[in-house]
Amino acid sequence: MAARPAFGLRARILAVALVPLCLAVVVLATYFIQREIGAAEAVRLEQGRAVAARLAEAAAFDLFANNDRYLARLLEYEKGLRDKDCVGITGRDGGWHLLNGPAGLPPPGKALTPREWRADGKVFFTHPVLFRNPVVNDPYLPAGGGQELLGQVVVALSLAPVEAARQRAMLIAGGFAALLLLVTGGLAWRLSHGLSRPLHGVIAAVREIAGGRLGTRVPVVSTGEIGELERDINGMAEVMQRHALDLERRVAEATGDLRAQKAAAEAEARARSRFIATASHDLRQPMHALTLLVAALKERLRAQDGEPLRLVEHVEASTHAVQTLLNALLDISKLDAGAVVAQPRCFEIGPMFDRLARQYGPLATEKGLVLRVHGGRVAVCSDPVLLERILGNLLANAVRYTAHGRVVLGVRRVARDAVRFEVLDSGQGIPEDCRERIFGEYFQLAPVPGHDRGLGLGLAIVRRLARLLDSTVEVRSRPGQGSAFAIRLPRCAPPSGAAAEATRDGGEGEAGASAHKALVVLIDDDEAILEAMTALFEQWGVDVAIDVDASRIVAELHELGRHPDAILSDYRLRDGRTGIEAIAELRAAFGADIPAVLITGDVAADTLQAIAATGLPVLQKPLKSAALRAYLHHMLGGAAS
Amino acid sequence: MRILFADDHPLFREGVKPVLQKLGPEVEIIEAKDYPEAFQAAHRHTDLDLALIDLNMPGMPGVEGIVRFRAAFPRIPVAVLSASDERDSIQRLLGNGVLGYICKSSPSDVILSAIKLILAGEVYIPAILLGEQPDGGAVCGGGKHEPLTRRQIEVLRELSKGLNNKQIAHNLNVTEGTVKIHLATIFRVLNVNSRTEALLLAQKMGLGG
Repeated sequence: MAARPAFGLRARILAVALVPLCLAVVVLATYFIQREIGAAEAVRLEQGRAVAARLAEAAAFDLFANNDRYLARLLEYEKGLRDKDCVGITGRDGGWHLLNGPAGLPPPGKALTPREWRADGKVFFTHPVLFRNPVVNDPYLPAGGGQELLGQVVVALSLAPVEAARQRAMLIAGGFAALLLLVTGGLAWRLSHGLSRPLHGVIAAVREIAGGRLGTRVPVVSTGEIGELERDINGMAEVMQRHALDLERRVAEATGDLRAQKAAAEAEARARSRFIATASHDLRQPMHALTLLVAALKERLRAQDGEPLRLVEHVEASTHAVQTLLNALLDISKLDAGAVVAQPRCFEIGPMFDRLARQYGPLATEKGLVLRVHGGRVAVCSDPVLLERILGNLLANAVRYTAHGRVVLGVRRVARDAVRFEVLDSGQGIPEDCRERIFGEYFQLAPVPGHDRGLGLGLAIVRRLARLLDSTVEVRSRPGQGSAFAIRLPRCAPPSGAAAEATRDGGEGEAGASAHKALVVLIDDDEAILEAMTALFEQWGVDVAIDVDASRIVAELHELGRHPDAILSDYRLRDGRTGIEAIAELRAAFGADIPAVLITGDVAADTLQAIAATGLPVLQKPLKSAALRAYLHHMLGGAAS
Repeated sequence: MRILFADDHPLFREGVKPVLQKLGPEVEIIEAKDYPEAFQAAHRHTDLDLALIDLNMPGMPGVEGIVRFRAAFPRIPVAVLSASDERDSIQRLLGNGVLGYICKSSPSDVILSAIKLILAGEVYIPAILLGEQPDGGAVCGGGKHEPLTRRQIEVLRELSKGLNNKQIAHNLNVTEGTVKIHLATIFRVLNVNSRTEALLLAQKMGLGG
């Protein structure tokens, strides 16, 4: 909500102060001016009437007597006496008898009573001039006591003085009103200013507080309600600040608690991981040893068929069961401790399906089941190891819970970018109400009679593994007819043909790949050895250049434009030459820093001394494949395995 | 044959020893319970045929110890025994020239054949972890007869085009001597005695043309 602008308050205060005042001033001024002017006008009119009456009285005799000279003087006198505009007297005939004024003035006509009218900013007064017949008791004379209309006296009075008075009065009233308004306005302005200034402070402070600066206080400068407001706002800010601090403190406490809890949980998780690592080491080692020792014992006892052998076989079965259970438990713990991390990549499922078929086919056959695997050239983006464990567990389960019929492992595209792996069986099926519970730990359906019970951990592991792969395991089942477990995973483009083949065939790629292969020069005077070694090197994915003579190899490699990465030479070569010379020749041609090794079966002291003098490393004959490979790897600096 | 077997677990060493004994009648097993002992033994016996080392021995983080051992004794083939399938470390181990990664949970016959494979100069990785190897599985499956390597098949294919050794060497970017050796092997494996016989067999195998 936006605060009202300050002038809004001020304008309203001014309006409240000035509008009634203006009205009062206008009304009062008008009233008093009207009254004043009315009074002045009344006086003027009275004056005019009086003048007309007096003049009529005074002029009666002279008019009767036609004493015009005297009349004219009278008029002259009367006109000069007051500011009358004109005076005139009409005769018996109604026309002007004497007129002291503008010539065009129409005669007023006859009337027995005084009249008055206004024209041209003047007021005209008429008064009849009457001649009263004296009351005489004379029978010869007409009966007296009547009166005769001799004419009319006309007096015109200008209203200019009245008008002037009105203007003056208005001027004074206007000036006075303006002064009053000014003073009042000024006072009101000051008042409103005095009112709004503390409000400004209040508004600013409230905005600050709203902006979160709760330490803001309003200076208490006002009295009355505004002062109260200022104090209240300060009080409110105080309370809010207290609350905010309190809240902050509590949040900090809670955060601290959480942090401590998190640290504790992390420490616990680490401790658990450590425990699992230790347990997995400490528990598995003796288990592995036990398995191996039992196998050795069985081997010993195999010759003498009897009670001890059967006992050992029982021990072996128990050992196997314990090991399986232990592995499953440790797997679950590791998964729960987050110690297993999915490492997804794009891979073709073919080899994995082959392995699964090899692993579970015999198990199925043993139970009289048929295992079918439908693969195809499908590549998925997932963790191959985890996926293989999921499918393996599902297959093991399917075989376990199927008495006869078949188990099928299949994969098919279900979308442009997704595939669905399915393990189907024709087993006993899973009752509707168990389909969720089978994924819990140690939950088991009654197994097929006469077959080994599982651990009840397989599907629990499967579900955790699927979660690691960002997927879920779906289950469909019809009791008595079979079950289907499915997991959906993202598809990816299979690696291109050549690359895929190279991957499968151990890196012995096409011509293109040979450019990256290491080249080893091998010199020996024994063709049989050369043959054996060549096959070995080819197997390891290393190119070889072989000959009985170093010079020929130098020439040929120059021709091919290739450069050897390592040199192996027999010490004794043809024509009394030595490997030392051959290596020197090759190094001279291709570089002194090429790793080289001498191979010798010689134990003659002088030979060994000659070799030692060169500082060349030696491999002793008979050369063993593993040692050669190990040393070759060392020479090539990890370029080939 | 001399094998260095380093494992901190005496019981497990006892369990593996009978397996190693099966490698041959005169197998000598030198035991070590930690890295210092393993290094000492390797210094003493320069003619070790194999060092079988537990990946998680006290005193040195697993892979680190193996890497140091490899650097110190490049002539000794190393196979790693692991109690857990820590597949993260496989890449690094193979990159350092380790020839085998054997799970301790493997049955004794698997351990035995893995060691035999390694002694023959091959690399052993458990099948489920094959994908972790940079160049896939290097183990060659056995066929009816000893299989020809890819290079040998290439040589045979070139041969069936009627090229001479020099031309084949040029086409395959190898030396003439190498071609000759390849041909000798091919003749032996295919049990033929001449280029013509080999050529006919190659055409029968569908390599011709």
